[in-house]
Amino acid sequence: MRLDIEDLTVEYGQVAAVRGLDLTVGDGELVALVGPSGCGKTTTLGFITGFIRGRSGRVLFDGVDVTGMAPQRRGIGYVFQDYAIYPHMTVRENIRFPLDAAKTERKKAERDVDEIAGLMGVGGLLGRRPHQLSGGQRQRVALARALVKKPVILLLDEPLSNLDAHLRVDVRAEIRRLQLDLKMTTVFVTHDQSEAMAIADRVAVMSDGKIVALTQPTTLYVRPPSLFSAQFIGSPQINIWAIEGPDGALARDLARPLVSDSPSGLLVGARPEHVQVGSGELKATVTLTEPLGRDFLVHLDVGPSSIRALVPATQGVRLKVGDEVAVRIEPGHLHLFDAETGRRVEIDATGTRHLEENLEGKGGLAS
Amino acid sequence: MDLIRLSVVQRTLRLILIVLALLFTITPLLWIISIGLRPGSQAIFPISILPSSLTLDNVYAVLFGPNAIGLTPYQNAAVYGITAAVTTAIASSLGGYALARYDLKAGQAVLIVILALSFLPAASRIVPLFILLSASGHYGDPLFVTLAYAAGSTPLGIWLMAGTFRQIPIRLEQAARIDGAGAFLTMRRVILPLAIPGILVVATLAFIDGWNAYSLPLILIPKDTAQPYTVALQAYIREVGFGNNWSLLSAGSLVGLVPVLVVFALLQRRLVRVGGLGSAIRG
Repeated sequence: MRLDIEDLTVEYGQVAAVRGLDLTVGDGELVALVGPSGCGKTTTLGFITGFIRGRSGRVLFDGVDVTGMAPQRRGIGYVFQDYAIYPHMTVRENIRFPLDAAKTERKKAERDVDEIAGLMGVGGLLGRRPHQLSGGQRQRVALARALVKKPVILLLDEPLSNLDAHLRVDVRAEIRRLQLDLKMTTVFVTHDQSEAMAIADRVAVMSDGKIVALTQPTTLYVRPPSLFSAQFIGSPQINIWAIEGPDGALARDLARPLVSDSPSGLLVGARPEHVQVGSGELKATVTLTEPLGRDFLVHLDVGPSSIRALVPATQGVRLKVGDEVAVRIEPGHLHLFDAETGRRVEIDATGTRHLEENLEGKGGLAS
Repeated sequence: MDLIRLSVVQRTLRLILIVLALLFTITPLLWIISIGLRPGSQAIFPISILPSSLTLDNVYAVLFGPNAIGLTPYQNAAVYGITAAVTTAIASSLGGYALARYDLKAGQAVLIVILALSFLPAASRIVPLFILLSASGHYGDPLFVTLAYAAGSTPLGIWLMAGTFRQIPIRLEQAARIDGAGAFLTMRRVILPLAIPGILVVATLAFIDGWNAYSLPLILIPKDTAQPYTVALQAYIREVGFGNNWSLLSAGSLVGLVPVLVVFALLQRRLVRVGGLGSAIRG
């Protein structure tokens, strides 16, 4: 089922939590809403369920306006961050509850419960009470309860954030596999950019109540359409140097191959993994090395500016604080942003600047 | 587990306070037992603290002896108690839910006024109630006396239920809605089962109020057969014991104590949990 949100604005008192948001999730698509806390992503989910009313805005399921419909009639499946499993019911009663509410015939209901519980791997836990379950098991029960009635749309609100780190990657993959199998239209809310990148068909980056980028994970990483999405996506965070300011010398040096005119009003960015250490024309001093396992994060000073570089561990172990090293960044790996608006800037062959207007990050020249 | 380590002095002080509080509450009870279960001849001055022999004669006399009050007044008291408990539980749940869940403009102020109301002594209501019931032609109707008691218990009940409902995560209600349950099913299958401990506490307190009702039935119910044991017992003592037969009075009171003690024994753990959390009385 296709989901459309049109021109949604939600205000809490004087504060606008969501401002003029538009979002379309295609049939069977998984869109991740990602952003820092308070950016309006959970509020947006609340509007889809009907618990939160907008100052303006509509929500449509397959083109049908359901904005005024009561939450219990929308047929949504929802997994809460804290699972919200009914503590006084057994696992079986929990999963069966949506079927009871729909007055499903008892025999068929029990069959459906057994089937979905088996699929979610909680078939052996049906007689247990919620307090006897581990976090991961609760999570599966919550998913089973959301899926048992074959919802039209699945909404997941930070479903992994209460899980241990080692479980998170497994459950993430499981959710994705299940979602692909069932071809379930899904909105996945998270504050974790790597989670969003890993699971989603498209990622919607939210900031301050607006979607500031909405595109495929790879595009978001390779051609971030705005400064905010560039900084939000990718870990360790992207290096950003302003042409105007203390980093000006370094920024101008880096931008020179790209920008023929005087490069004013620009921010220059490069991801740490694209900074090559060992050869190049920039002279840098190592100020700190952080072993991250497979890689080392190396902090470098070039004049008054600093650079974060990600280098292989084999190279990282040989670098000592105070070492003088040569550094270079391929011009093709540089990102330019407008200093005022934060929009991505592309420079065409004639040296003309083009401001990225499109949230999908495909408006520029290169596409 | 103590969250704060107390010094020896503090612990001794605490112990003394606990003992004093216990003495204050338990002594009258023990005294009634001591007087009620001793032969009437020993209940005169100079009086011994402990009886030399125990007997159930007094209890028998009150219930089945000549001119005895019998079981009817206790049955009446039970009806008052249970009706007051049920009415209070329903009214308190509805009011408490509204205060806990809806963002009422003056919600906090309403809660404080409600709590203040619950401190009004029953006696202060007698005259207005008398006028009200006389004028409306309901003077003497036990139903309205019960309602008056329920009305007296409901303020504290609303306060306790608001606390109980606040402890139930709103997410559970939202989950039920998303699962397709309407308001009624959500109430019946999710909210009420989780609110049962609080409801039991409120009902128990209201039951005890109704069971021990004295001043309102004394004044508002002229019919003897509808009186609860408290009023009947007093009339009986006036007739049979010439106003000061302490052993019969104590025996009658003891019978009245039994249901209260039984209810408390059954609910003790839940009462402590709701009261002890303190959060039930959080604004």
